[in-house]
Amino acid sequence: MMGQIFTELLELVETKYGYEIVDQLLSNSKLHSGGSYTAIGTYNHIELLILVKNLSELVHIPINELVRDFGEAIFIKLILSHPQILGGISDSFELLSKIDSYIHVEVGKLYPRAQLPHFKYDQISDNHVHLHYRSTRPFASFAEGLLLGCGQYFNEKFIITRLLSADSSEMNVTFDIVRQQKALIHG
Amino acid sequence: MGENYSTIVMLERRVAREIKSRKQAEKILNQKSLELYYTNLALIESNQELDKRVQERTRELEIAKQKAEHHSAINKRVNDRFRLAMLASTAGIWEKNITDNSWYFSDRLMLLLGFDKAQLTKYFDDFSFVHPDDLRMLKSKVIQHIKYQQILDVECRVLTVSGCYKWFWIAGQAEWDSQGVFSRIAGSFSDIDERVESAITIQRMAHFDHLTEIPNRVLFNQQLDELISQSHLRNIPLAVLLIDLNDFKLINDTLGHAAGDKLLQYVASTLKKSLCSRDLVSRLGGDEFAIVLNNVVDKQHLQASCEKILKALETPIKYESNTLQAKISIGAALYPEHGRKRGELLSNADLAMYQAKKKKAKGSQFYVCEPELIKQRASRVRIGRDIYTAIKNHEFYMMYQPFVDLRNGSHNMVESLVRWDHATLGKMSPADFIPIAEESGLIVELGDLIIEMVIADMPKFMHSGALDRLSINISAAHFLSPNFLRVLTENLDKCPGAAEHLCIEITEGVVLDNISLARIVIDKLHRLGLVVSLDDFGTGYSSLSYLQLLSVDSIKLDRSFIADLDNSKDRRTITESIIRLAHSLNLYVVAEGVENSNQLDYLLGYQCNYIQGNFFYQPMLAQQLSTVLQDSLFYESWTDDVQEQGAT
Repeated sequence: MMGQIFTELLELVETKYGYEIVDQLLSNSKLHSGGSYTAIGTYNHIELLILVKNLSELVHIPINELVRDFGEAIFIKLILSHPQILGGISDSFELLSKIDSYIHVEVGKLYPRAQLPHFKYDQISDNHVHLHYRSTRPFASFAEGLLLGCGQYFNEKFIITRLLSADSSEMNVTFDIVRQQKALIHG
Repeated sequence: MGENYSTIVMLERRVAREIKSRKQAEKILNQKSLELYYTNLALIESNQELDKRVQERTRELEIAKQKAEHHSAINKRVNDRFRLAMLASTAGIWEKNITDNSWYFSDRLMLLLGFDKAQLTKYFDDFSFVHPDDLRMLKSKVIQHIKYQQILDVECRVLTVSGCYKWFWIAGQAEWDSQGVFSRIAGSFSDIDERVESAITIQRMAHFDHLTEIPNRVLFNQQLDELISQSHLRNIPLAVLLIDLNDFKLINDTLGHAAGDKLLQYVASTLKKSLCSRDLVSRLGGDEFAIVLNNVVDKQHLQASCEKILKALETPIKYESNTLQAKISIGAALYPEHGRKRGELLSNADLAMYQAKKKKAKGSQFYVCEPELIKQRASRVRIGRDIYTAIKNHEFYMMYQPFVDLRNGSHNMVESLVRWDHATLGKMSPADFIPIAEESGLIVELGDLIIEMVIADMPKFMHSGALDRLSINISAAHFLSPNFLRVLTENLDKCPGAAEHLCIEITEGVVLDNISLARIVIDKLHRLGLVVSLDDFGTGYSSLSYLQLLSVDSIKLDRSFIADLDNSKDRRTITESIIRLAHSLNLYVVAEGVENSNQLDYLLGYQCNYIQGNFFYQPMLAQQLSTVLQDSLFYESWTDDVQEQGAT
């Protein structure tokens, strides 16, 4: 997994809870990498799961909530560090519709070893889509956070609910997304 | 203090982590840098490879461009040549693209037919400009070409803008695409109107008589063959009629050829009018016409048809101030009774026509062929063949019959007579075989043989010293042939002095055939020392003027006059007059066929010079004649002695 995810996570934890929590987290987690991450490195995704689990215990916040918040926060950073990925995209749903067909293609070019999830886009109406997430890793909440971050980036609010089905899991989820313009919300 | 320490320891851990992270990053960056270096190297190599490929491609493109330019130049030349050929060609070009259903017509084609593209498109689509009689054939040819790739090559009539149909030679060639689907067809129109019209005219000229505009012999023969086949299939008889105009030559000679032509046209049109449309009327040539009557039920029907034709031609026509009357002789033969093939039928109709001709003095006649007639003809053909063999095998021999000189009873004038012992038919009369030899043309060869045989006998007769003249009968055809004088002189050369003892007997036929040539031959005979006698005088035309014209030396009165001397005063008067007239022209007269003393008495009274007949001498062989001639010498000397004694 991209080292930037780890470094961003630790930066977020430090920002939110101070370096003491980061130090405790890294010291408690007994990670193979020793918790020394660099954004340009690649690390086992299990370490992220360990970090999130231990952080949840440290800050008493549920794992999914932590992961979602982390996803929401990191979206903007990812976009800012890879602005070319957005290209000419100016609409949030347009971005969602192009995750598999364009964004992940570009990511693949930058990180050839990256194992990327699949997103199936299904537009219900102008402001309503179904986005089906499928991955070999249980990061559906992280994805949900990224979606929320996306909404924020485009100055919108995404109301996201998970459509439950028999095979729903953290690796296989359909998100029901309804977007609202911020102006409308405040209005 | 404790809190600070733990903070310091924590910071140390942080620093350691940071250092470790930095080192990792440096290591990664170094790796990435190395990767980049190798990547760069690979890129350079790749670029070089690409440059090389680009150069290769550029070179290939340059070659391809040069090739394309070369092909383009060739195409242009081909197109220019094609365009020029199209302009120079007298043929009009057309093309149909099946794929896009479009037509192309060359300017020349539009000029040839006089239609614009829209009109031509319509005409080519529905074939409506093709002559109805040619349409089926053209369509069939097009289908055969497209379906079975047979040659598309047709001559047919096509409508032009003038409203007239003209003959064109239409050729075409279809194209099929790689899947074998018919995709295109192109071809040409060549104006062959003049050629076809000429051919039609030539065809007409070759098959129709120009004067009468009825079928000529060529077409008649073709159609007769077809009619015979039909008749055979339907088992219905047909009749072939040969018609000859009697004395047509006389009309041409006296009134001119225009009159003759007028009469021929009249006969042709009358024959056509008097017959059914299914019957065939033709002019075979000269004054000879032929008719084929279809569906002839029986002989009575045929006779009725012949009578109808005679009746139709009874009406005379006016020509200038003259009246022309067509007198004809019809000979008819029936299929299959008188022949199953054209040649046989025509030959037998001809045979019948000559029977009708025999009675032409009575006017127009017809004669229907009889099996007996055919049999007789076959017999004559057989005898003709036998004559040929007999000449080669020297089966003929000569006999001689002396004349009696009425002044003194001497017999030093002789006539040679040819005889033939036929292997199966026995002794044949010259009256039977001479006409056949004349018909078949063998008379010339037979005559040559006679000359040879007679002159070969001459030394025997001349030796006696009693022979005055020995006559040889020469037929008209032989007399006028170039062979005659040559063979005669060749034989005379073998027997010197014989010419002064020979006489050539000719008939009036010589005069009728070619009087000027006859005179030349007679003159040559006189110069050789021979004399010439006119045989059978009194029959035929017996024109006395011929006697002078031909410079003959004697005449032989026909036996028919002599036979009637006992019974007919008129005959006696004529005979006496002829003898007197002949004497006045310094001709001596021989009377043939004297059979009794009464006839002898009359002829003595008329001062006839010689008599010939069985009453005195039968024809005899050469040896016997030698004896008779010697006797004659003795008789003469005896009578001379008697006369001398009387005188003393």
